[in-house]
Amino acid sequence: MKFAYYPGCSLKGTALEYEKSLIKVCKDIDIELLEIEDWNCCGATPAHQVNKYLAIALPARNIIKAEKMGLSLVTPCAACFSRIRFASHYLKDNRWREILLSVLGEEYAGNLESKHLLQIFIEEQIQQKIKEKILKPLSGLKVACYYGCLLLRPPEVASFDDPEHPTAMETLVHLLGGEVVEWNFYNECCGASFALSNPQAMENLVYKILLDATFSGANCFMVACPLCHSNLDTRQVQVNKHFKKHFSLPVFYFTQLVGLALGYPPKELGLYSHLTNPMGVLER
Amino acid sequence: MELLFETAKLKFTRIINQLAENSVEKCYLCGKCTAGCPMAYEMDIQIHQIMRFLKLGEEKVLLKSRAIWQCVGCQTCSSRCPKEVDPASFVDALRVYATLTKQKASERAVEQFNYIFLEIIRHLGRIYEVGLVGLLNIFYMQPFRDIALAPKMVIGGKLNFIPHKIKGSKEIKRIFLACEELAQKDLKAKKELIEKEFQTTF
Repeated sequence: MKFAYYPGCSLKGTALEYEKSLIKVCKDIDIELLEIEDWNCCGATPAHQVNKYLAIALPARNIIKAEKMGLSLVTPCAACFSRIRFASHYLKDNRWREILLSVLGEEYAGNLESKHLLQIFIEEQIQQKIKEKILKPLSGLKVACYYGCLLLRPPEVASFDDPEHPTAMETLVHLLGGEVVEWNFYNECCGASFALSNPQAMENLVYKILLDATFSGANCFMVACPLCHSNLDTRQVQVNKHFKKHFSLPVFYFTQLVGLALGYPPKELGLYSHLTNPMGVLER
Repeated sequence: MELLFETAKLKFTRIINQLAENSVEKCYLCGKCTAGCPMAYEMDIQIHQIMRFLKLGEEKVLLKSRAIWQCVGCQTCSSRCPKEVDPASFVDALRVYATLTKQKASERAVEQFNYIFLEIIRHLGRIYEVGLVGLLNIFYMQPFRDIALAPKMVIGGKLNFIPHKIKGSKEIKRIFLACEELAQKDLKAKKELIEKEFQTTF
């Protein structure tokens, strides 16, 4: 399977271990990723808060590039996924396509398919391939599957999974031999867009998520978004300090867990880049 | 607070409706949006109250509220709305309107974050995380904020100190200019049209 790959800015910086692990794992299960040439930032939250035209034109530049490649677009970042889906949702409308033509000077046919990488991992064909290659099942891991917001919502834009009862991550964890934990905050927001501008609010939201996951018996998280990861993992130290708690829940990208099950050593999956040390949980 | 009903206030409702590409009239104020809102505990007016004030055309109350800048954009309200009103799109429309009419945001930190974030993209085409945090710390006058996280992040290789400028950065600058112009033109045209409509109706 071949895709036009849109990494998003985070994967080139704070989430480099996500890219490191996904490139390894994708190669192993025959997912070919061709990076879109000279891609630009999708505008994230600031663009749609300030200027709707910008919020559509910025991702549209990448969408048009992917369309020219003749491939479906795939992105590992939930925030980029949301912005790309929003833009292509609006661009189904002729009026928006005309506006875009005047801004970018390029035509968009309006048929690009865009997916989150996790969606590819739960396709039957890929599931079969992963199953065949599992060397070390993830026994001992009690995983809290954390979807966050933008992967699922709003459903008519994301069309990812059921927004209130998603099962994509659970399917993957079962396949890898891990244990899925039932908990409450799987689709609550972690306050990613406020990580820098309103950190107190973000810490409150992250605290609730950490508290519920711990109370439900989880010993790690699985995420599919670099922003969820940076909030849950990097900010865990600050939340501990602020709320006088001792949370120590490592946060894994789904690609890292797949990589571990396929037998990759932790170092090759970038597990030493995490701020909350995952080795304790893995040695169990 | 004075809540007098004036025909002029309806113009505000109309313009936000058009910016959101939706109609607030559909909302029957059930409160389901507020029930699921993760930021509700911090907001001065709740999301269903925002919808009510919108129906009443209370421009001042809405644009001065902290709530419109405290919305995190998680889309929970919009996906749960039984009337498909999409409250999040109205909050976005209010923020866009406030930005276009150059009103000071009640949450300065969010406004500054948006500004710096977009300026970096305007010039580089991609976000430069280290620069973003550095500039924000200067703007917020907290130069050492989050500095405790830095050593571990450097060891993990998570901090990319060299900014990457994309080849099409000129194109991005052009997109920014065109979009800003379009947004202003569009707002002006909408206002004029609504004005005309009102003159023929009343």
